[in-house]
Amino acid sequence: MNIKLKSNLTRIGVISSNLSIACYIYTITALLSALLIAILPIFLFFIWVIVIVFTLGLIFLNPDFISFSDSILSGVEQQGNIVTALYNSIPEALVIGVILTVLSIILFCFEPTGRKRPARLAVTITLSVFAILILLILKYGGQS
Amino acid sequence: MNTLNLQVVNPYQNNAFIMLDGEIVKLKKSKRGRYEYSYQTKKSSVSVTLYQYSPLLTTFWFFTELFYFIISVFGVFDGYRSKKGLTVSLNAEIQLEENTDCLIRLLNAKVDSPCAVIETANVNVIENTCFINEKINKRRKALILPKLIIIAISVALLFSILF
Repeated sequence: MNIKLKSNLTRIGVISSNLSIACYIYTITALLSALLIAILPIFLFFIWVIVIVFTLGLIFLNPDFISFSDSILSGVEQQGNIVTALYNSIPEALVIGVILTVLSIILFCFEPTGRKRPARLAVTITLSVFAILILLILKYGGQS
Repeated sequence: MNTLNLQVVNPYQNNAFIMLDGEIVKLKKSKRGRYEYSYQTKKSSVSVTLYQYSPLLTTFWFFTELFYFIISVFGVFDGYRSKKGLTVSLNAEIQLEENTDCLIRLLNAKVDSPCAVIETANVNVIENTCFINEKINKRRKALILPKLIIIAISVALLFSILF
């Protein structure tokens, strides 16, 4: 085969492969984000119960904590069950998916060699966790 | 008939292809991880050269590069990276006997350093070096402004659609 044609085909193959990887990352992160957003209010509730056990007096004296807990409880009650919660969290999950995909792409771009893959993975995970936390704070923090 | 038993280590290093008497050879991978090729000729010597493909040295380089820039979403998903116009140049003449063994190791390109090591009984190396191709660098710089314009137009279009 002609070298020029072969090189061009290889280049198109690499681009399409990279695009499919980005779509894959987007889908996975969007799904995981949807799941996390759906189940996290319930976890927050349990964490809050534990906090009550250990710091009873302090929490009941602080009006901010009480209003925040009320908002979480009402949020879970409103959503009914996890499936409904999962369905309701899809828009936020899609936003997180976009953010994480962009972050992953940036990390892909600045990767000089294959040797630094574990470091890139660690940074991606850390950034993903931060992105999810920021979005959760924006969603539930504002209700208190 | 003389036979050259060629063995190559890192054959696709620096996006270069090995040519024997002006023709690109089709290498086959051996069990030891090396690449092999057997070349038969009536001549008493064979010339070994390297052919390096660069998209920036083609006829329609400007449009090709912009096309790839657009389809790879502003070059983000493009795997091709030109190493600052680094070009390899190898030209050697191997004297053949009935059966001649030759091992070529292609090295990682560095400025003003050899691009390959040829191990054989009788070889005359005419040129073996890596250098910076100014033509590639000039063309790469010439593409910066059109790329920025494409990004600006795309952002403006996106904003006009969204808001």
